[in-house]
Amino acid sequence: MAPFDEEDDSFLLVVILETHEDLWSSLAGESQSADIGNLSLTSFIQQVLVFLNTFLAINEANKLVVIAACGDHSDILYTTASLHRESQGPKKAASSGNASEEILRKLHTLLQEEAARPGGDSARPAVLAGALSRALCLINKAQVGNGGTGGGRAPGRARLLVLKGSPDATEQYISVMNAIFAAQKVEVVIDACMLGAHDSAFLQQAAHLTDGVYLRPKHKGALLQYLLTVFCGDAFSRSFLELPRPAGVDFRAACFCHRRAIDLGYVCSVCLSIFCENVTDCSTCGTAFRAGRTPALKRKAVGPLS
Amino acid sequence: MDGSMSVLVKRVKYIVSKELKVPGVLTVTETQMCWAPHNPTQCQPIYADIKSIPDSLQRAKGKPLLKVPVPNRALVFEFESEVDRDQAVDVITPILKEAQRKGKAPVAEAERPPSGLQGPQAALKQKLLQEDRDLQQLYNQLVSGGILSEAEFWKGRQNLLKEALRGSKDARQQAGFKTAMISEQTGEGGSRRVTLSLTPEIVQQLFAEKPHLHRAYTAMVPEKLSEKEFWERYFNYEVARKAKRQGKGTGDEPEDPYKEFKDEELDFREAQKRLQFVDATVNLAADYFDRDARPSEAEAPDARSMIRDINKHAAVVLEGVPTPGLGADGGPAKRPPTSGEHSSGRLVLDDLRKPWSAGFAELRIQDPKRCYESAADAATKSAATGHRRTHADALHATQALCQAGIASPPLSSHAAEAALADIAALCRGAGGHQWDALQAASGPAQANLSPQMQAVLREVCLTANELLRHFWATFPLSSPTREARALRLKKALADQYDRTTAMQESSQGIERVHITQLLKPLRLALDTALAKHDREVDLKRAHDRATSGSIAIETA
Repeated sequence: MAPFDEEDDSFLLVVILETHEDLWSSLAGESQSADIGNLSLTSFIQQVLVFLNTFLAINEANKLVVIAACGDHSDILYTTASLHRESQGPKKAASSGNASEEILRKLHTLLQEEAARPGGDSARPAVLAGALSRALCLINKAQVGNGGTGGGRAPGRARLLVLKGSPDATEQYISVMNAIFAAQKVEVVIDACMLGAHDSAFLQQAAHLTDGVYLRPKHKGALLQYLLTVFCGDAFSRSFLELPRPAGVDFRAACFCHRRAIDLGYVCSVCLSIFCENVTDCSTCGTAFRAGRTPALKRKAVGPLS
Repeated sequence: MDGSMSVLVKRVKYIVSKELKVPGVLTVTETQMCWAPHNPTQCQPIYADIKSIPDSLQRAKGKPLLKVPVPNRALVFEFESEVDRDQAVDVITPILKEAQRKGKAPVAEAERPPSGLQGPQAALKQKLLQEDRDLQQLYNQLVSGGILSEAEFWKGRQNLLKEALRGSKDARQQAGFKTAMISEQTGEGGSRRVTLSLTPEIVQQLFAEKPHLHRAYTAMVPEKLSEKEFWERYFNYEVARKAKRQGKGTGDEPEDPYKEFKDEELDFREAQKRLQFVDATVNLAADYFDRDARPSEAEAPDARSMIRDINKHAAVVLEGVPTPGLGADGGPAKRPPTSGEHSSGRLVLDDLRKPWSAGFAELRIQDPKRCYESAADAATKSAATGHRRTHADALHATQALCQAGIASPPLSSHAAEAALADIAALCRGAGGHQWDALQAASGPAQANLSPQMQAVLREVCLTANELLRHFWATFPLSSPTREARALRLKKALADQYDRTTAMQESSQGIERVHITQLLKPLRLALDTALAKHDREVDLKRAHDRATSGSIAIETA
């Protein structure tokens, strides 16, 4: 871990909030009893807002970015004023007021647009890869900007939190994994909170590879408590904390040919692309596999790609 | 263990191999010899029927060892001293002799082969047991332990037996029907008195060749005719018919006593149906038969019936019967098959086909947690997917929030407490030093356990799986026998469950984590089985109560 400035313990949090019908559907209805296992839509938004406010209140220098991942695009809901100043100049800084008000307003506008679209977005999975890439770009920009102004901000001060409810879209496997590897390289921790009924293999792998925390709350109704307890501490403080660790990580990969989730497949000996069936040449690097010799492709268990 | 008084209790070590000696307690009662380990994780307890032990116990010279020959193997126990051993032998030998003497009295016991294996394939079974150590272990534990009966144990292993039969030296081609037509055989002698001995196979063959006979049999026996009368009538007719054909008979063409059951159309349809499943290019008999089955005007009715008889006979011979040894006892019993047996008898000769290879998929559980939680997930999911929400719903929620603002407090303290407890459990459960140890130990869980532990785990899993297989086969609990068997198996399963619990609790540190993880699927399976039994019993009880209630109302 990079050395820290003892005086400054602020950090940057980028929250990727999935705004997809799958997430809304995995939550309980407004009329359902306010049991600890049920989380209504209103209380979901409410609890997330409280968490974001808490984060900002912990340290006045903390920076926050909220990105909404919709069915086909991602949208920035909120950016801390200081980030605006650094990246886009002072003219936009005036727009920042109360964080939760701004997030709510933006979210409202976004949902109006989405609700006006015909057909809903059951056919379009949320753009997790796009949102992750966008978040990484923002983090990179903030860090480079800071480094440029002499702040000496080292990597390891930024963190990503993904709030997701829809099942994994295997067609996004390659781009999501690339984003995860990029995050691993720039030492950005990816935390994940899964609200759907099943574990997300993408998020499990993301948290595993970047040393983050993956959590699927048992009592969804108490989401705020989970967020505050598990995801509030920064990467440095975590070395002193005992956080929930999963008993296992779903390392299944999606094949490059049909985007199917597989746990046994063929791996290209040159570029390590994964295929679900024996192919004559690798579609990624173009290597031709000759049949007569010892098979270049060996069927083996697909493990972590790190 | 049964309720009889124990006559001997000694602390002995059971010698599994040269290196491995497991300390335990040997208990001998008048009917059973039992050895149980002090530490249940080290070895399975051993039960042996006193009657199955010959009274020749072998003592080792100079060492406090005792060899007890039980079916299929010998148990070697190490006593604390030679004096100790000799005392024990003095107590056990009279019991064994007494048991041997008693055991000889009932004929059934005496006829039992020395190995304890029964049935026509005892030698084959013996060979299988010797070749497969796992199978032997299972056999010793379940059959010798009295949990399963001999027949129950081998019932699920018919394919193994068949395979062995095929592979063994005395592999015979599966017996088909004799090609000689029965009506020819029975008429020998020429005298008026014809002696017949009907075996179930002959009856089966007759029914297959003459469907109308079967119809007559099911309709008339035993209501109108006794079984003997039925066959007497039929063979009187056959003998007379044969005599007539040979020109010896006098008078008119004899009348088929079961003529009314003949149905040409039905027979023809059946033959057609059968033809669909048979390769017509191979099965000429079926082809000819079908051509001739329809009454043709050109031929004389007598010749026609003869052709049909021969073709039908050929068809039945080609279709074959199952080897008597594998199912029925094969003895010459005059026991006509029921209609169900008849249909099962229409088997195609197995050795003319490729052996059936069972397409089993390997069970791979990479993350036991997922397997463990999937059941709970299914329940919550069905509740959650009741209604699909759209962006419009989310819009309403944000609007409401814009107007009302954030509630204070946003979360009830009760919910927060539950969440905190959950997080604490998550941190404790898989976290801490155990997690680090798991991370540090590379490779699969199996690689980090001692070979001895692995062997024990394997044994536990094999035993439990075998028991589970028999357990699930007892459902539905439709008869008292099935209920009793289910109860007996449930007890055995509960024992295995306690054993896994004991194993988990007695292990320490990283080994405990690995053992827990490996045993999770097994425990889940056991949980499911036990829950199923409880549910089934409750249902039955409720049903019984309901029916008895309705009877009470009727009588009132």
